[in-house]
Formats: sequence, structure tokens, C-alpha cells
Amino acid sequence: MRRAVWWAARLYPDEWRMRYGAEFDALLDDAGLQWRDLADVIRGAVIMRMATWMSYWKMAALAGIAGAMLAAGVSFAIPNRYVATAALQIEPNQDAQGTVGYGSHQLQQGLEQRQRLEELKLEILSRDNLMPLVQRLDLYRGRRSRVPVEDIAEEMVRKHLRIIPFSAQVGSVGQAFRISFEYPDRFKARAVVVELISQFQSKSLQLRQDQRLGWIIESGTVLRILEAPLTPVTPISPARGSIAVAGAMAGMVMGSLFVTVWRRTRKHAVLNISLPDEIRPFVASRIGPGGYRSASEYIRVLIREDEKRKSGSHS
Amino acid sequence: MTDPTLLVLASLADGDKHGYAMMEDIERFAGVRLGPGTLYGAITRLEERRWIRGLDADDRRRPYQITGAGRQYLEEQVASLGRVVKTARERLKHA
Repeated sequence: MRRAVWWAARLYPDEWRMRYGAEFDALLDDAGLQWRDLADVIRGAVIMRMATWMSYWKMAALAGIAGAMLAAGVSFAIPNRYVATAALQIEPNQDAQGTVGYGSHQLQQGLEQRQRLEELKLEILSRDNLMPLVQRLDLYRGRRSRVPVEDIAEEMVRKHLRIIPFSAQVGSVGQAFRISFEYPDRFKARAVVVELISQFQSKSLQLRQDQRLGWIIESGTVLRILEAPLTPVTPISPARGSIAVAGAMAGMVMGSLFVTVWRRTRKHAVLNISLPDEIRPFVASRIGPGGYRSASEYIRVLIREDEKRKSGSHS
Repeated sequence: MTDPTLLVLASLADGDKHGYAMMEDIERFAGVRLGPGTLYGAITRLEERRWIRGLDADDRRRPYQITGAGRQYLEEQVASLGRVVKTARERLKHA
């Protein structure tokens, strides 16, 4: 039980133990301890910890608020980004279906539409096709003064322009896909999508015309717009709420770290003390129940006692 | 009277004592055994308020001394308690 109380006494904050630890341990050694003393010591440690944490939490809360405000301010410096989207579907030509029989070639037609989408996609997303578009719609104006337009076209495909197939309605033969473009100017975002739809339409038409000129392709292509592109209203980024919350969290962590480091550097200087082998066992024997909490505490007490002796000899 | 701060001040009123001596003294005159956590909680508060002060110690047992402000506070509290006790005693007589 004495050991349990001794360990409970280690729950007190370091600052409190620096001041009262030695005499508190002496009291525990002298007093005939009872089980209720264990609860009493734990309660006392919790109360002291609460008193210490109050300043800790205040600092963390202040740093958290500052972090949230800073992060929110930074987030407003980041330009909004909008995404314009349209959904389309490549379908077999009705005339062709009538000729070759829709049901018997359903699977084959589906594969053909998918392949055709990939061909059209490669053509439309090619650097040669996008470079004039970038210049005509005056996209990436700032970057164009520093980076070749070829690189900008590649970056546009890699980061901001998406053509993604998806499953349309059950029983539908055609291949559905979505075009989306992300850009800070919401009107230009929509303009790019409109332009790309127009290119898909014209290139699909060419394929059909080729069929009429006598190409041996069993099915032609019709492009149907499932969702027309609208001018986006709500930006997708930056997520200012999330940025502010992240700033608050980071501020709280930084505030807590600052208080910890500040307290340690203010009150403690780290000295490396080497001990000869013959002294070490004695120092180790002074640490434990009824003794000192650590070698550092033991050395601190010795230094204080020497300090007192020195001041006494001068007076 | 079970307020630990008043009990500690009352214990120190007749001379300096270290923690264990206070604990024994309080148990003797008040019949209350203060646990180590309660006793040192009271000592911490009293020292923060400068109603007691820790003296230099030869060993780990640091004695404490009541200050002038602490003595004044104790006198005020005792006077207040005395009025309560006197009133209660008179009313019990007439009841």
C-alpha cells in the first residue's frame, strides 16, 4: 500500500514536485498510511494537475484561435476553383441498328462504342488539339508568359481536364462519359466543356459521313447529351472550413509544444554528469520508494543543500 | 471546523511545524485526520496566498511558519466562528 501511495505521489505535476516533492515524500514516510490516503493523494494530484492544465489549455486555446484565423486568412488568398461538367453518350446510329439487328450485336456494339470513345478522347485531348483552345479562350494567361503552351496543354489534361466513362441506364447500348474541367474562372470552365462537346459532335459526325461514303463499318455513331454543362456556382476549393479547422488544430499543437518547450528551457538546463562506477550503486540506492524520484532530483537536492551551506558560511 | 486551511493555520499559530507534525497536531486538537494530499493541497494554497511561509530545512522535512497576514486571517475567522458559537449557545439556552 505504501508503494501504491508512493507511485500516486508521482502523479503530481513536475512543477509542484520540484517545490514540494521531497517534503511530501518525507511525510509519506513518516505517516502511518491508510488505504483512504491513496485516494486522498490521487485526488490531490488531480486537483494540482487541473490547476497546471488550466494555463496549458488557455495557451493551447489561444494558439488554436490564432491558427484558425491565420488559416482562414490564407484560405481567402487562394483563388476559388470551379468545375464545369457535362454527361454525354455515344450511341449506335439508328439506321445502322436497323440494318444489322440490334440484339444480336449488342455486346459487339458496346465494345465498339467504348473503343470509339477512346479514339475520340485521344484525338480531342491531344496537345495539337488543345493548344489552339488554350489560346482562343485565353486560358492560363499568367502561366503562358512563363511556360510553353505545349506544356500547359499537357498539364491541362494531367490535372484539370477529365473524360471519364460511366455506366448509363440499364439496357442502354451506348457508352456514357462525363467531361469535366476545373478552372478558377467559372465561365471559362463552362466554355471549355462546351467547346469539347462541340468537338466530340463534329468528330462523331465525320465518322458517320465516312460510313455514308462507303466505309465498311457496321455501326455509326450518334452523340447524345445527357447533362448539359451549366455555369458552376459553388467552388470546389479551397475548403475554407476545413483549412480553418486544420489551422486551429495545428495552432493548438504548436501552442502546447511551445508551452512545454518554454517551461523546460526556462526552468531546467540539461547537464551531462558522469559518475564513477563506485558511486553509481549508491546513487541508484537513493532512488525509489522513500527516496528520490530520479537521479536528477537527487542531484538537484544536493546542489540546493550546497547552495544553502555556502550562503550560510558567508553570513 | 473542518476547513483544512483553517486547521493548518490553527496548527501553526503556536509555532513552526513540518507536514507530519501538523498532521498529528490537527488530529489531536480537532479530531480530524487530514490525508497527505489534503494537507499539502492546503499548504500549497496557503503559501500561494502568503499566509504561511516555508522555512529552510536541514533535511527533507521543511517546517512552515504562519505570516502576519495569515495570523490576521485566522483571527478574523476565529472571531466570526466565535460569534456563531455564542449565538448558537444562547439560542440553545432559550430553547
